[in-house]
Amino acid sequence: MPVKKLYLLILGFAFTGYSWVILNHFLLKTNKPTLNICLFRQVTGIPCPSCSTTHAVLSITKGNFRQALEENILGFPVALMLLIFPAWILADLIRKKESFYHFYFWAESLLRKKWVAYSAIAFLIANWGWNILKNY
Amino acid sequence: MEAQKVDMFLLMNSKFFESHQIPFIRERMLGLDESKYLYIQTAGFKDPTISLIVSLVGGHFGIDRFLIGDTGMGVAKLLTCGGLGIWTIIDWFLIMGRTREVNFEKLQQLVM
Repeated sequence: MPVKKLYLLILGFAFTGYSWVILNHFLLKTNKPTLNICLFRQVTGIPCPSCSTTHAVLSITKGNFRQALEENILGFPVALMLLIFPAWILADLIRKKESFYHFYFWAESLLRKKWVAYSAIAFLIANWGWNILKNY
Repeated sequence: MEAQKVDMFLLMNSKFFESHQIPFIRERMLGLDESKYLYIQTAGFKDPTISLIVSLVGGHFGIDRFLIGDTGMGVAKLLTCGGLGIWTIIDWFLIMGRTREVNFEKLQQLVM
């Protein structure tokens, strides 16, 4: 994938992510139900592994880390990515460097290693099980 | 590389690539050394139809992206409920093309 395409994609994701979090923040503030457009949940009625991540990110922004942990632990990596990746990409664009691009492919190759992949899958399945139990 | 071997390869594997890429692949393969043929034959290209089936079933969890080797995008899709459900639907239409693109990138690495 070319550098510019990857940077544009991630900046687009970050922009959508921030808009989504802000929208849900205002919905919560006005006591309206937050948006649930998870296809898997709509079809099966069972939450997917990343359901409640938005709530967890919102709790992190308020400093309620324990509540975020209870809502969905995946909120932590998502919040970190939302915070770091756009800033990193913008810094790369200003300094005309490709450090994030190299990091992205390093992270991809790390995730392709068997022990990392199996550990990640086991963790995700365990977290998904917990997510299902919490919502019943 | 012999033209007969190249044509046989393309006949058997044309579904893995975009039709407009075939003349380029043929040209590059004809200029290759015989010893590279075995590497290309055993490269393990991903089937676009299988990707589509996986996308329809497990696209929400990013499994289709993991399958074709787009690990980063797979993680992004997994962490965002399939890109808020929208990316899942978009990928039903894009995944076959992306699979062929990935296959072409893999082949380019082999023939370079």
